[in-house]
Order: sequence, then structure tokens, then C-alpha cells
Amino acid sequence: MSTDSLPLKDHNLLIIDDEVEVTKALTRQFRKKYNVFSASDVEDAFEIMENESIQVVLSDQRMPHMTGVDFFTKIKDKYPDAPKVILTGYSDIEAVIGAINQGQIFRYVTKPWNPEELDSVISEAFEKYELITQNRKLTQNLREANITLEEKVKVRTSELKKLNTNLTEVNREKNIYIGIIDAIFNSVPGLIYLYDEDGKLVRWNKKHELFTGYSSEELSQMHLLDFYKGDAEIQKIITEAVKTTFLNGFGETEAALSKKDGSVIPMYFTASKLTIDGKNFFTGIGIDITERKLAEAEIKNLNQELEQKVIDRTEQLKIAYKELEAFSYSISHHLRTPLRAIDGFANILLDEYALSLDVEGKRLFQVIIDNANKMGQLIDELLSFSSLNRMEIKYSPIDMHNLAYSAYDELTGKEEKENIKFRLQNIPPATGDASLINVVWINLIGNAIKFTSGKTDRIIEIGSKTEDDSIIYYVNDNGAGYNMEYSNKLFAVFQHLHSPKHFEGNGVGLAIVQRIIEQHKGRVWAEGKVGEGATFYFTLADRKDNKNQLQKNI
Amino acid sequence: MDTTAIDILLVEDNASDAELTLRVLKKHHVVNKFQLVTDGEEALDFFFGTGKFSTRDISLLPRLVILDINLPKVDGLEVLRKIKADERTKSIPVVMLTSSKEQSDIIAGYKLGANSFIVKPVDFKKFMETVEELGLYWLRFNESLQ
Repeated sequence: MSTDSLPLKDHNLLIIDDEVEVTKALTRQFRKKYNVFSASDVEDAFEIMENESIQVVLSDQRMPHMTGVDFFTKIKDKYPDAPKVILTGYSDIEAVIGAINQGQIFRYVTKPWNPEELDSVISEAFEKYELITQNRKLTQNLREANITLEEKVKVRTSELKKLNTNLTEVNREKNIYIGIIDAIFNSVPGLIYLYDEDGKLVRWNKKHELFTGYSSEELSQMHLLDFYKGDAEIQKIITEAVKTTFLNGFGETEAALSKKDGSVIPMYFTASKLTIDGKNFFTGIGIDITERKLAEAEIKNLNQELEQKVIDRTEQLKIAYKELEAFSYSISHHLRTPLRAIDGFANILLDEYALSLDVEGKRLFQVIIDNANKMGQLIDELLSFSSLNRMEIKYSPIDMHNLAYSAYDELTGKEEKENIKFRLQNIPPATGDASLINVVWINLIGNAIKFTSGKTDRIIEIGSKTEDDSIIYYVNDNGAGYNMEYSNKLFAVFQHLHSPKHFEGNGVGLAIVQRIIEQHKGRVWAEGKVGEGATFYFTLADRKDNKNQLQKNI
Repeated sequence: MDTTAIDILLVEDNASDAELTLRVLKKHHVVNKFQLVTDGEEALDFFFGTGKFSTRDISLLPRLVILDINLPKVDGLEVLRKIKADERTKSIPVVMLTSSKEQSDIIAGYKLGANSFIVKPVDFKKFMETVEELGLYWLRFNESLQ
């Protein structure tokens, strides 16, 4: 350290000596290097120590009230870090060395002192102080670090403790689940199995042993196909099912399993692919389906019986129906012959014996003739109605517009055409039996003509609308109408909603219409109000159905 | 037994129908001479000179046959088949009488060579018109051939 440099501001040196000359000399020596504080007695020294931050104390041994050593002893506890240097005469050396040994004094310098030696000692003392404080600081840091570390260890320890508790809980639950799974495993009413990729049985449940009759030792040596020995067909099915399982992750099959005692049981098997540590397995359940198979066989048997019964019954019905047809046909025919005779002979009487009959007699014969003819018409209608049932529907495309128009044209004379406002919309074509659908138009339009006959302003409208993909055709009139309460009677045979006095009719027309529409798998219905007219609607089976039908007929 | 030539052979089992038919034919002077037989067997006997007609000169043929389809013993279609199968008799016009519009009967009749069908109506007036019309037509048709 150079003597020329400025005093080191934070290096404070306290010099204590009762001899002013000495203090001055020492101050002179050190003031360039350190901040020098001087005290001429102990009291002053205490005060300076109290107020200033003194790093090194240099004191004379021999002073009036207290020796330097005693002073150092006194301040030792309060200022332990400050190195204490004593200046002593040779005679006092013994006491000073004792103090050095007790660690209270850093160095001693004998009087008269060598300034260079003293300088070096003081310099060392400052270094010593520096070391002590640094050491203290480091120790402090170390202590603090230690505390932080301890804190961290504490926290980590508590975390670990917690984890450990959790792990214990998880383990406990795992054991519970394993217990449950084991219980289920052994109580499932079916075989549970785990096979490896090569088809070797790896795990199985108790039921597997009981059911197959093989012991645990035997099962541990068994291969999947061992349960189907001697049946190549079933082995093939099983092999395929395993292949599917490994391909799709899941498989199922039915196969007859052979037990150890040789009995063969129909089973249903499931399998799920499973990969453990990179190795493929499949596991699943096998269920005994003997009862199901028996039930199925019984159902099949019953179905067959039922089918046969239906066939037999249908055949019986067909025969009965044909007989009935023939019966009503022949009855109708036989009825016509005497009717013809009644009509014929009444006519001959009227013709050839006219002179013998008075007016009333002639009228009565005419009544006979009219009634005979009416009955003849009824029989004809009934015959055509019943023949509808026997008729085969011949499907073809129908120009409905044209058909409705010609029906109207055919049914009306010149005069009627002039009286009736006939409105025919551009109705779409249909598929059906043209001659039968013609009968429908003739009847519906014929009714409209008939029931508007009393009106002066006669309107008949024919149109169509589309609802839910099917076409509804309608015939609307502003004629006599009918009471909706009797709707259900409209389409029945021989039902008249009007007195025959007002409207002629034999009561079969609408029944025929309904039969034809039903045969076309369509629907017919009506709306009306007394005195305001009626609307008759009909649909034919939807076009898709008709197309299929058309295809069949072609 | 009358063995002279006749105009019409009427085959009809129902007496009323037969009488009515004959009345129509007579009344309008369509024919003067006719023969009535009442079942299919008699009709065949008439043509082929058997049974009841064993003494008849079978070379004398009627100009028209009116044949009911429903007949006892041998039915009308069978009679028709036999008439039309014989060279000698097959060109005689045959008008079938039927009481129904049964399509299968009509189709079968035409296939066997029936010349016309009359569906017997209840209405006598209509029947009269039809018989007159068809009877005349076929009698004349036959005359024009001879």
C-alpha cells in the first residue's frame, strides 16, 4: 500500500495513549493511510468506539487508569471483530503475552517501535479485520442459505409424504378393483379366456374349468383348437373368427365346443384384441346357447307348421271362395231365366191380348215388366261386381284426362252438355287397368250428372292435387250432396242415401268403384253437404308401386 | 217325324226361353219351318241321324242353328265343336245363346267357330230385336252362299 495515496475512508484506526506526543507521532504516521481517531484515555476511547465504526484499535499498555490489555478485555465482547494491537514496554511483555494467548490481542509492538514494523502490523490488522468481516458475511450467507435449503427440504418432504399417501390410496383401490374383477371373473356364467397370438390359453376363469371338465394344469397346456378336435369345419370357423379379431379388434362366432367328456355344446363366443407389452392377445366370453338353439329350432318348426296351416287354410278359402263364386254366378243366371219369362210373357200378353185389357190392366202389366227389368239390371250389376274379384288387373299407362273426358262425353246427351258447366283440369296420367279405371270415371261422373239433375246451375269439376307424393283425383259437383254422417254407407252395396224417387240407382256403382280402387291399392273417399254438392276423391297406389306392378306384368 | 227341310234348328232346354224365341222368329215371319230340340244329345242325333232322329234324312240341313250354351247331357260348346268338326255341317252358321257375359264361354265359342253370340237379356223387347236382327242376317248370309 503506498503512503502517498489518500487515506482509505472506510479504514478507521483508533489510537489510544496517555502521552500526547506519542499519539501525535502515531497519528502523523498513519493519517495518510487511514482515518485516524485518537484518544488520550479509556473514557475517550469508549466514546469513539461507541460513535464511530472502528476497524483496528492500537493502544498503549501502560496508562493511568487502565492497562491496554484490560481495556481490550473490556471491549472484547462488544467489538470482537476489531483486531487489537498493543504498544508495550519490554517490562510488561509477560502480561501482554498472556492476553495474546487468551486471544484478546492481535499483535504487540514493543517500545520504542520500529515504524515500518508497526505499519506492517497495522496493515495486517486491517487485512485481518477484512478477513473476519468477510468470513462473518460468508458465514451469514451460509447460514441463510442453509435456512432456505432446510425450508425447501421441508416442503419437498411434505410433498413426498403426500404423494406417498396418494400412492397408498391408489394401491388400496387397485387392490379393491382387482378383488372385484377376480370375483366377477369367477362368477360370470360363461367361460372367460385370454389366448395369446399363437392360440395358447394363458388365463381362464373357474367356470372354464368346471364347464369344460379340464383341470387347471390341463388347461394351461391347451391350444384354442383343442376344444374342437375332430371337426375341421368348426376349426376353420374358429380360425377365421380369430383372424377377424386381430384384424378388426373384435370378433364373435358360434361354434360347438367339445368338452373333456366328449359332449358337444353349442356356444356363442366373443373376442377382443388386447396388446400387453407389445404382444397381442385376445380375450372374451363364451356362453352356452343350447337353450337358445332349442328355442330357435322350435320357433322354426312352429313357423313351418304355421306356414303350412296358412297354405292349407288359404287353399280351403280359395276353394270355398270359388264355390261361392260359382254358386252366386249360377244363382244369378238361374234367376235371370224366370225373369225373362215373366218379362217376355207379360210383353206378349200386352201385345197380343191388348184388346182384352183395360187401361189399368195394361198399366199393371207394365209394372210387372218394369220390375222384372229392374231386377234384371240388379242381377247384372251384382254379376259384374262379383266378377271384379276374379278379374286380374292389367297395368298400363292411362291418359286420365282423356278417359275422364270420354266418360263424360259418353254419359251426356246434347242437351245435358248444354246445361252442365263441365270443368276438366289438366289431370296427370296414371298407371292402372284402363278398363277398370274407366268404370270408376263412368260411375263417379255418372253420379255427378245424376245428382245435379235437379239444379239449374249445374257444375261438374274434375281435377287433381298432389299430397305426400301421391296424386289425388277428384270429381266435384254442386248437386244434391249428402250428409257426412252417412259417409260409411256410401260405398256399401245396395245403400242408397237418396230416395229412389229422386235419383235412380241400383246401389252398386260406388261399391264397384271402391272395389276397383282397392284392387289398385288406392283409396277412395268423399266429402259432401246436403244441398251443396259432393266431392269424390280417389288415389291409385303410388307410382313406384305401380311401376313395380307394371314390371311384373310385362 | 217331320223329315222335310227346315230353316232353323233351335237347341234350347228351357221351355219358356224356347217358346219366346220361337214366337219372335214366327211373329216376324223370319222362318216358317224350325225344329226344337231340348238337349245336346238330341241336337247331335239330329245332325248325325242317330237316336230319336235315326230315320231322318241327314242330307237335309238347317240354314241356321240357334244353340244355347248351357244344355243337359251334352253342352252347347261340345255340340258346336262336333258340328264345326264335320265337313258336312261345318258351314252352317251357328248363333250361340248364352245367359251370361262370361268371357271365357264367348271366347271358347268363337274359337270353335261360332258365328255370333246373343246374351239373353231379361228385357224381352231387346231380345226380340237381337234375335230378329241376327237370325235374319245369318239366314241371308247362308242363302247368299248357296
